[in-house]
Amino acid sequence: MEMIQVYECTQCEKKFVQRKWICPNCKNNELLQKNISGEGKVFSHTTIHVSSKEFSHLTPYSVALIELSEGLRVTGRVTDQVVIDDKVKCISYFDNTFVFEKFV
Amino acid sequence: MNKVAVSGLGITPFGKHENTSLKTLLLDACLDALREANFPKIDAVYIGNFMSGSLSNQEILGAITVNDLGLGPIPAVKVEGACASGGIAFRQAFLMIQSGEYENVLIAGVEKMKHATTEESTRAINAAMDNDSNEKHAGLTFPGFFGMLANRYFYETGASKKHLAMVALKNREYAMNNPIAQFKKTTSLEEIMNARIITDPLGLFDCSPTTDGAVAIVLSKGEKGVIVRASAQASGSTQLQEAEDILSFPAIKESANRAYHIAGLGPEDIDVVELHDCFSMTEIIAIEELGLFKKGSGWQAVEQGLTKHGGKVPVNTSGGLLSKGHPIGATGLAQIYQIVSQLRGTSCNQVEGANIGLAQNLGGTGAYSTVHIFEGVN
Repeated sequence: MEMIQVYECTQCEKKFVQRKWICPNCKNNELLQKNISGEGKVFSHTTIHVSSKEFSHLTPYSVALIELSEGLRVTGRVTDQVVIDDKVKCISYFDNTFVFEKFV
Repeated sequence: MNKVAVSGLGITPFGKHENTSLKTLLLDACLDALREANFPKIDAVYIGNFMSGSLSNQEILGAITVNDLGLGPIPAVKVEGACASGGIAFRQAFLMIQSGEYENVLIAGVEKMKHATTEESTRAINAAMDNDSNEKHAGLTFPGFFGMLANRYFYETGASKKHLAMVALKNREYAMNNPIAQFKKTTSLEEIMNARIITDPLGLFDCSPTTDGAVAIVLSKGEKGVIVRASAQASGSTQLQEAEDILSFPAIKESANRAYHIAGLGPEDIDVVELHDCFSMTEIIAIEELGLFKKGSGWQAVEQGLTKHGGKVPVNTSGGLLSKGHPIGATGLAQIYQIVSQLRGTSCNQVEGANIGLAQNLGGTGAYSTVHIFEGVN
């Protein structure tokens, strides 16, 4: 399983998948990178049939919003069709893309 | 502070303009609005546009407008806020008249999209998302964002694809009476629900089309006719993964609450609404965020016919983005065009006795929202 790299505020410890220059929660401007578990469950999903040129060779492909076990959400591609509440784990991170797969 | 009134309107037909350039669409709409306003001395120009650079390799729309309409050496600016470009441009012009800086301002919105391939326009529209993010790299498209919303909304509320289709059908039926609308062909719930899937669960009729078109409005210092009672704008999340509640658009809610506060009015005072139905799902969320219906109950309001004539408040009597068409930078102004026409009593799908109207314009995936409230004053 791949870990997910997040940014954590050094003051209020709120975590973000994407970098924040100033913490929107407590206004502190120091955030440090940290790895967290890539396990979670599907919060929502869609299967995309029409996409832009850079992704059209992949269609149809599924993208999901994953709620990680640590609480925050991350958008990633999923290898299979999923439904809400399916358990998933991150299996790769390459070219700024998280890929998740179902597990039982 | 000055009061501000609408003194002129202009609009082109929405759809495909194969042999008419971006510039001609823009200036044709402007000329109509100026003529209706009786050619006042214009103090400044604000243009709403999103993709003239990426799809037509054309910028400086402000200066072109000033020059080709012979307006003299007045200031001009193009405003970009994705699909909210028009609403934001309108708000900037309004504030400048309200503050006393200008007396008459020309605002116009334009977009030309139909000459591009679907892949090109999808790519250009994706510029309304944060592309320096893992979300974009995952392949999430603009429609995909709203597909994810719809699947979660279904899960939490019990709504289904039928309710999305009912929104699309209502807006199509309104568009059939709008002479400038892009889609005037009759359709049915069945046809809508069986249309090809763009991004599950959204089918072709759940997604607004690409459109060529332009709208222009002249705003003037004044207290008569249709006046601007409130102008508000707010920002929201630029990524789905960062939204606290994915079934909420805080930018819509915040801009609506500010506008209600400024106007001293509430959702129950609104007689007619134009809102941002970029997707059928967005209309259901927007009627909730505007406070017209309780959170999580928008789909039931649609099912009970409360968002059309004979219901609680008619929504998108122009046909909305879904069927009137969605020339991105012009859309916010097209919504205002419809509300002003309703309050003048000259609209298609006229709401009898409409006196207070609201226009809500969304940009990106909830990144920007403007809300304007208008009143007809005799």
